[in-house]
Amino acid sequence: MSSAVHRRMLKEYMAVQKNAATRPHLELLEPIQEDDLLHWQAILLGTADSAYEGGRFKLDIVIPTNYPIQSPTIRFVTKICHPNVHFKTGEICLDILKSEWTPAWTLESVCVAISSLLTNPEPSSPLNCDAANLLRCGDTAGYNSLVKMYTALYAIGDSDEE
Amino acid sequence: MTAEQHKLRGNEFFKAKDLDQAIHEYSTAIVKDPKVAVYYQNRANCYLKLEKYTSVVSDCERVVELDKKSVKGYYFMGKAHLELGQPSEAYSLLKKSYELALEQRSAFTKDIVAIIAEAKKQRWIEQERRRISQVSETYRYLSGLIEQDIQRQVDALDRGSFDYQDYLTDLRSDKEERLKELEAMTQRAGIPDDYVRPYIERKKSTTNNNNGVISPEASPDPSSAMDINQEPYKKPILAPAAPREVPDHLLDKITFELMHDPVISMKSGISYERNTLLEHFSYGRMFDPVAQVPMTERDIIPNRALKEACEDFLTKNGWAVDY
Repeated sequence: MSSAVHRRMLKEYMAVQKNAATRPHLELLEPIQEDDLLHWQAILLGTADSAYEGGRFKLDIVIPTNYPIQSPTIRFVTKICHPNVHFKTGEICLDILKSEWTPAWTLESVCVAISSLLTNPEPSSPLNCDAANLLRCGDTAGYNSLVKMYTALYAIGDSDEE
Repeated sequence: MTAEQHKLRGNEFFKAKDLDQAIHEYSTAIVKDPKVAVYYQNRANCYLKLEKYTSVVSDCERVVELDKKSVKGYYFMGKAHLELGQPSEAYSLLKKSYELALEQRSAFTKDIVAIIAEAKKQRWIEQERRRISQVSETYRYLSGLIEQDIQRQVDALDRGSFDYQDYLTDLRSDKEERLKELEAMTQRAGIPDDYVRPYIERKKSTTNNNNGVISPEASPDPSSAMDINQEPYKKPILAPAAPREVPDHLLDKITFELMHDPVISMKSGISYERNTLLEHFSYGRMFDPVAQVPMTERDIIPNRALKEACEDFLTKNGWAVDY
């Protein structure tokens, strides 16, 4: 008999496939290999009219064996300039991935939350101080052009480099 | 050496996976002091690992006789009955075990719930077979042949041989496999009796007439026509190829599985499976997972109506265990 986490992941997988059309900013969400349901990947699309427009951002998702009691570990594989994402490691600072995690979340809803974090940064708890400082100083134009540059550099085109 | 010392030695053998030696020590302990439930219980666990299920049952009967509140006694016995192909007995024993485990706040409940689910599924498969065989003559005929064949092979086995039990287990799983295959075929074919029935009817009518002059096609036999009038042609109801889905309201919000012991949060009115919710609390997260309002173990009560709904659904849809 497969373990509880596998059964839950299987269900999430089926639900994701069913809802595929309803999430414009989530291009992909699937296990990296069909036989390992504890390691997923996702691709977020930068929202139109934002500095991330045109970018494709890859996420690496690791599911702990006591998921969903414990939260998944998610990081950006694609380099991204964002106040709440560590530029080098891709670590994400998002309350629902840490203290505010609840088992009622799914990978899908978490990815949607990360996607909305892109356009709603939280500069008060930064992992990327340079980006956060620009925002805190109110230099939106500078922030936006910085983001645009990194998006063009790392997230646009077919480069999947890590 | 005292009985207790023999038990301890048995435990060491058990840890070292030397089950035969462990059984020997436990048996010695039992001889020295036949009134201790744990000795039987430990020996039953060894038998369980050795797949000697009838021995498990008899030891466990002793266990629950000596200790009416033994979670493991009922648990091992239920497991053995399940392996012996008696899911209904297994189910009631495991249910008892679960209740005791809850009472004693044992960490064991999770394992029990998993086995209960398996017992429910086996029970459903058994009922489903009975139903199909009532409906389908073809199935009844073919499954009968399988049973006969297996029985012949069982009879041919040498009872004295030391791997008799192994052969028996092999044959049993062989039978299961073949029955499952036949079942799948019956379902895939939809209603095979529809094709078979005309031949059966024709055979009946020609033998009834017994004159062989009038062929049934040319002039339908009045008696068989009357049969049809009296008993309107009943279409066998086989399981329809409906999508196998469990309604969301019967699923635990955390594991997404059909609930077995749903409890309702008095803070939000949302229901969860007792085990998973308690596990959530055990991480120090004292809030309602969905509503995200503060909540503790004291804020839950059993949701009996939902439990009935889940059980009812499962009785009719045994596959839902694996959903």
